[in-house]
Amino acid sequence: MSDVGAPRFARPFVAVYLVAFVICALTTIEAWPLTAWRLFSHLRTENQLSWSATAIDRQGGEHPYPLGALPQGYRGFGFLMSEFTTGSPERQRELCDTWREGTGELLGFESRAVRIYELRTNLAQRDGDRAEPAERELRYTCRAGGVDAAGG
Amino acid sequence: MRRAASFIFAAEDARRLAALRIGLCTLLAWRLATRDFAFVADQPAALFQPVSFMKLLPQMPSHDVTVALQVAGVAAALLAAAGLWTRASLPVAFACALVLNGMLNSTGKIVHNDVLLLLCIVPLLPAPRAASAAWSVRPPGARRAAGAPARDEAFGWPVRTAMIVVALAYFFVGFQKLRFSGVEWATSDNLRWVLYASSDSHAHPNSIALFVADRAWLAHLLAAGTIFIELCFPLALVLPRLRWVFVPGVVSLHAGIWLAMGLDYSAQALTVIIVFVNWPVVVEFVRRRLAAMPRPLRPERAGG
Repeated sequence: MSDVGAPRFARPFVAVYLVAFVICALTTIEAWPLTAWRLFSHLRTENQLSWSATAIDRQGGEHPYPLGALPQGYRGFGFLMSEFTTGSPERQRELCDTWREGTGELLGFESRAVRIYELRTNLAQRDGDRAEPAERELRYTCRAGGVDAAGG
Repeated sequence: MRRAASFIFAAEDARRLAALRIGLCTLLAWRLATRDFAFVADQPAALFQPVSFMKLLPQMPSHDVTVALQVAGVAAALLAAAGLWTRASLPVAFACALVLNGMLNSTGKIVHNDVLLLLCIVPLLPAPRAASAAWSVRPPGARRAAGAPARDEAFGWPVRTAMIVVALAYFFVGFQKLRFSGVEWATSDNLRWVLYASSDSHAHPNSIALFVADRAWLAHLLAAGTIFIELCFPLALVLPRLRWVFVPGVVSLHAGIWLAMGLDYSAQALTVIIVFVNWPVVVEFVRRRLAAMPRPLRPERAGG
């Protein structure tokens, strides 16, 4: 194995690999595992917007539905909401039906509806070790066969 | 360009490449065995947000497929770490890890925790023979290779390519911060809000995050230090002495992020250590120290 030198394909392989690595970073293409390396690259302010959901049972009771912390791939809830707010009515209905139908397996009951709230937090307004409670506003209601914007 | 080529294709000790193989493949086996990939298995089709090659799949793989990939990936990674059947074991381990990590990346957010590990394994894939020329277990029935492995270009370029990948990764992480946020990333209260938001999102407040966030000057200092270390990491390639600064620097960065925010970048920190430490020198140093240690006196046997 001594004195054999680098194989002939080594130089083009390294060149293509490193060029692809740099291009993905510069053009912010996510050709994963090649990535744009955007870790915490956006500027944060004290105003934070997030989402939460609740599930409504057959009797009208409202239960917490922590979609972002649940298994089976529901954890992307927060990221999917940015697509949801600008998505087509068909895409909104598709996502809504999935979240509503998921309560049977995830919460143990069939839900009549799922309510999606927008949470606005001012991180600068502190109450001890915590931010003051977020302002909660109902933005969407997922029900069988449709989506109602801002309540319903 | 010529200087870059002479850096990448410099001769290297066969054991340095072997250490890269052992370290990265053992780390990969550990990550595949301990991470919860089944968390995203059996995902409803509407929630599937595939990235890159995952777009070839109609939906998220099932729980059974996920477990099978984990078992195959761990076994292949351990075989590759031992230097056994590396032509097959290296690509199988890499492919299993690619799909499993691709699953985690297909829920709406790009996850970077293990990506540097995977990218540093890539240069090993076309060099399985060179990677197993030293510090490997002989497969059953195989003959010992003639001639002891020495220094050669064949052992250098995968190691040097991995070093460049690590350096570029940190450079671009810092570069993107300046590109998308400007110097305000460090001069504004950006890091304070990141830390407050992270602490608030956990069941119990994080005292380290709050300690930094409550002191604006400290948050600015740490933010500026972070960008400095990330942008300047490539200097460690051309000035080897600076590795004593930048390698502990980024490891401390990841340790700080873990303590303050609970984000686990241990695979990335360990990848940096595996790639940048000259393991044959460490082994020789330890051997010399052990040889220099006084041996315990053996009791003399009574004759007769």
